[in-house]
Amino acid sequence: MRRTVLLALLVGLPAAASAQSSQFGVRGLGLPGREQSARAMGSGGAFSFFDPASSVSPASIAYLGSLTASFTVLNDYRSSTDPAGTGSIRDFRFPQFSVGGPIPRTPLWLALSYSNYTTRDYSLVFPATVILRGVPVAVNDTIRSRGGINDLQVAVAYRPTSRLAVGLGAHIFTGINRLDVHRVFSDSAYLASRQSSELSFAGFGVSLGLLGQLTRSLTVGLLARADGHVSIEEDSLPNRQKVDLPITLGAALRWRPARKLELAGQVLRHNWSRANDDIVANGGVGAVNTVEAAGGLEFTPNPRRPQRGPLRLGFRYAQLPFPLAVGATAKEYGVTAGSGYSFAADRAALDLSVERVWRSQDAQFNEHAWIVTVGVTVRP
Amino acid sequence: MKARSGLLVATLALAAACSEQLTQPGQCPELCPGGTPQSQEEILTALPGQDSTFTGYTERSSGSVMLVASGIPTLADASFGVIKFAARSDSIMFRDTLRAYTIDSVRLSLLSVAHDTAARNVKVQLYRLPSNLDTTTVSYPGVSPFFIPANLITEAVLPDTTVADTLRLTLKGSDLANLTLQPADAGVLAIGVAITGNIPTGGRIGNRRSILPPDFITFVTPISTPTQAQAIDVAATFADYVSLQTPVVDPTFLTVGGVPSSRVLLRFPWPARLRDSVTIVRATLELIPAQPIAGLPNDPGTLNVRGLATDFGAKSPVEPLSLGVLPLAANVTDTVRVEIARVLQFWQIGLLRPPAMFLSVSPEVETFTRAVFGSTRSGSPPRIRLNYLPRFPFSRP
Repeated sequence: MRRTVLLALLVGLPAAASAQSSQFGVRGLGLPGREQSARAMGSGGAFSFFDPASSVSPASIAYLGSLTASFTVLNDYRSSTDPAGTGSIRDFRFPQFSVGGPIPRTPLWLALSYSNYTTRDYSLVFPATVILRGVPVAVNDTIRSRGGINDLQVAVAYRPTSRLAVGLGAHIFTGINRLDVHRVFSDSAYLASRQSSELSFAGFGVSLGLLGQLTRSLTVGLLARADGHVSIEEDSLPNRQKVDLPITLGAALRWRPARKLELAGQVLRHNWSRANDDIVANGGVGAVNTVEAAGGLEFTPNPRRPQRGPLRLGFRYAQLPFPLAVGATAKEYGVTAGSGYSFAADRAALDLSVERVWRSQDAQFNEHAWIVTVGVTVRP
Repeated sequence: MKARSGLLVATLALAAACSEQLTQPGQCPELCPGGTPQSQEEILTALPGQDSTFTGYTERSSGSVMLVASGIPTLADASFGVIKFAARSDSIMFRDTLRAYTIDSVRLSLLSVAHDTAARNVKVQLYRLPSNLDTTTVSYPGVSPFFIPANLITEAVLPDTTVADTLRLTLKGSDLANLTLQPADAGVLAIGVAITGNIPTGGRIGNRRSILPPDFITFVTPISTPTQAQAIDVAATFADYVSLQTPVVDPTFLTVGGVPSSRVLLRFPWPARLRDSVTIVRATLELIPAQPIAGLPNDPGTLNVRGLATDFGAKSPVEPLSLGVLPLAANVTDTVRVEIARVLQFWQIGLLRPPAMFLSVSPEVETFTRAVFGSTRSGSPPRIRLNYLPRFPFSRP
């Protein structure tokens, strides 16, 4: 009964599964999400191929020993600078939650996860002066966007041998993006205006993951994922627009040189340029292929209880797929630290990660942020 | 234990910090997906022949004031108030017996609803009129000969600092001779009201329907021993005004206000693109006076512009919430501009809202204000200067 209630709660959580906002999410489909748990984010995402609470590789759920549910809370404190000025921003999101476990009496695992795929959260203010009836009038325009694309994944993993796990994921893309533009005039003879629009997204993708233990201390992960395209409907109008989504290829390596220490690294490549033509056709800037890489370690003081106070460190590098200007390249760097603590006979755990992120495009657009993530894991 | 506490504290702190502030300055074009809103301006001219004046919505008998003036609303004009009181009895019931009385004093009360406080030495003058005045045929030529110094009962100067005031004019002693009722008067007092000032001016005096109707009180002492002062209060049976000139509505132009009240019905083109998707930020109705706006200085009537709930022509019901208002100052010759964005926003709601509006002056038949505007027939049609934002091209990905 408790399991049923927990499952219902997790599945019924609000669809606010967006990751942190960014000025680099203004263009295209927004800022890509990482689909990682707080535990994986503590080491820069380097272990996300092997983390069953993350949705990066469907094969990772083969590490679930029992029914496990987890969700992640993210707080972002950001300072963004563009030629118009600097803004201090904070936001609060639920970027990831999942539930899954082994199917009894079979070599199969099943998991359901809900992750942020891209985020279009921003609020931009444009002070200006316009000429109305031959007279200059100061105006303040605010363009606001909330929402993005979420990834609902159903993953199945199969473990033919103790050293090999294969996972297959079906991804349903859904989500809503609410946009509005608000103008206020300094001259009270003019009424403030507000216009709004709503985009809804729908799509389907598949992913295939592989985890193979090469030696006792070395595990390799491979990923191939095709996200197809996302269909976009504006204000429930009949004409839909399609934007191709990328094919992702990735590889990861986990090495345990000592009993208390694990090292990992991963590389992912997304060919976001598939979306370029669709975005440009709609007047956008475009999309470029991206590579992201992460490396990190996890030091476990007590290998018998690895979730009690581990030290996680990592770094991350990523290119961002939707530049703010044609020909520009936006990048992201981050360093992270994290830990966790299990209690209730390891039936519950809290994970915490703190990440310092720098993003930039040319010298004009940059931002830095502290991202604090807390994950809660429950094994009922 | 410490680690567990630390994590719990961190979790609670994180939950407590669940707030959002996403606003930052934007830079175009990089951070302007879809650009910025572009304002557009357009002028809508009243449809030819679809601008009309209709008169008779409110009769002067419905008003609660008398418009009394000299040189208002035009220099050649003049208006007098005419008040006729009920008959005053020549005896009074005192100690269960009807008794004759002697008059100690008389008080006449009037409500001055408004006057031009910028004029100086504004006087309300009361003149004696024949008690047999036929109120059914009262006219300016009929009463004006009585507005001579010989018939002056009394006068009072209106204060410069107060727009509205209650006038209580008390006569006693030798002044009572001006109000002596002869047997031929049968106890009936009729008075005329005039207003003068150092400049052409006027005022609005409350009539029988005002909150303080004209009142005629006689303070008497019954002839009796012992005796005691008594009061005889007589109400007005007639209180109206007569004017030297009666403006005629010229159908070539658009007339609003006046007595009886005139309203203007205007219809405008309203293309679908404006109805469907634009956001109206300002709309100004521009009316070109065909002559200086008539009225009492510093006591403007209010020009009301209301959208129609549905278009039945002259009897169309108006939508009270779609309202543009403007005080109409007297003697204005410049273009009159009324902000009517709320009216046009109302036109955007639903398909049945007609793109039409009614113009009226309030308080109807209770103000000197009367405006005559150009029309589509006179070559200076009403028009709407409209500022709007087209549908914003929200950025699709």
